[in-house]
Amino acid sequence: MSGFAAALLLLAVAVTLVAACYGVSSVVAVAPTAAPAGPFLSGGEPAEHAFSRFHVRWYPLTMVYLAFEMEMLFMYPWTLVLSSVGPSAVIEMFLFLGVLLAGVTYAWREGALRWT
Amino acid sequence: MDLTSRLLRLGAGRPHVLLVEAPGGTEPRLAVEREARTRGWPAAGSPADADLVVIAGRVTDDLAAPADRLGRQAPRPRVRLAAPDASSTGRLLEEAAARLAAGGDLEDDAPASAPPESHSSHSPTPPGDHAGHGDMEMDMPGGVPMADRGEDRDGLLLDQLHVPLGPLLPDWPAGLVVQTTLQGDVIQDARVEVVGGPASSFWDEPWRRLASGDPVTVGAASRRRIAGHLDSLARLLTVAGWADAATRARQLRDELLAGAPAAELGPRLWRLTRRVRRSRTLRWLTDDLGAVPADTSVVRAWGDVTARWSGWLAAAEQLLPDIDRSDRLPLGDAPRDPPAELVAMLPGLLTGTELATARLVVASLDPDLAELGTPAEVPGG
Repeated sequence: MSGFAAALLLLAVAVTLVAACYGVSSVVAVAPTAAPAGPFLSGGEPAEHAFSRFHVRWYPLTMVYLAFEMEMLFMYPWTLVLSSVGPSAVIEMFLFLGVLLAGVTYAWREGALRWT
Repeated sequence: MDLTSRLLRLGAGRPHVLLVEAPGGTEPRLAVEREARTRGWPAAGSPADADLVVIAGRVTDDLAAPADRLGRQAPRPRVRLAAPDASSTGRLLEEAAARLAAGGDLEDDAPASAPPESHSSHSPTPPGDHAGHGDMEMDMPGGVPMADRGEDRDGLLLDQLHVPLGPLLPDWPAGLVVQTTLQGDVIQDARVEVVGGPASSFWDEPWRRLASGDPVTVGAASRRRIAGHLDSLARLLTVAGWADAATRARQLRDELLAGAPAAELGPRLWRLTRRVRRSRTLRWLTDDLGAVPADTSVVRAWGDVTARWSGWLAAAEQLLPDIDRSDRLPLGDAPRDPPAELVAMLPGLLTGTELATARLVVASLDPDLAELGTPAEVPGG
């Protein structure tokens, strides 16, 4: 079986399974649609939504994490080619790290790492 | 349809029962618990798990709306059942199971979520501390606004949720409502209300009869008091998540009330108390929670949660030899302290605790609000 036929077969199986789930549900359901139900509050009504809003400080922190993350991502292959490429690889990598570090320093100066 | 009805019958064979108590509904609650247990029907902790929603006791006007909402929160097929008194509970449950097998109650098709305009009148938010509410009345899903933020105890701005505990909560004192303000799962503020109207306490009944001039034996009064302690214990253990020991306490309680002799109950009570006392997990859960200093006037509240349940066990063991005595109870013998002070100390005990701790603390105090007489608003602390 070619790869394409296998993919099509998988798609067909998936569609059949999903359709079967919907079919069984519609055959055995006691009511056509589920009524909307609120949270269980001992018979009370919710006074507000229970979504949590995140403080904006989490978003800069995420960006800083990305900076460190990219650094690591490039350093793994760099260790493998370091010996064959020579000193130019070292210079390039440290220039790159310098650019990233500048970003981190900027974030630090702006207070993104301040916890309280 | 044939397949549907067969599945419905299969599902109705072992319905999950959500049992909540309205004030004065202790006796029907015990009856429903007993009947459900003998049939092997498990107890549900919330409407999402329930097939039968049973409200024991009289549903007064202020409980009608919560009861209605609760009944509609259970997924279909569902059956709502009122058990206003303890008579013919078994038949009621059988009928409810039959109705469940036939597809359950289908007449209540209105959505269970609140209509947008009703939330402002029902909001438990105390007036005055919600300044920035006006701009949030736009198109929020369900007409429910976003949570406002407030300073928590560490000085961080966190979302505040207003969550009521009670009145219709399983294993919760009937008629008690604690309006909590939560940040995370920490209760920042607790206000206590009493709903459901006056009722007469089931656990005080022998003493009421004594006061009205009827003869009451020491045995009957001791039975009632041990059964009350075992009931409190069973509810605390259920809240703590120890269903097995809770079921044993309930069995003992029901046999005690049915009049089993002390010789038969003694060894089993001893096994239960020994098992509960030896549980390190339970102690670990309940030690140092809800500590009440020993200079308060309500003696049964002294100490932490562990001290309170140990007190029930000790009292039950101490009273057990008396349950077969047939001499008269002396006039002037009084039931437990009235729970008004217990209720008054609740806001102070609950503020600053986590939600799970708060449930344990309330279960360990187990105020029987029917002893209060008239409903009253208790000032929050």
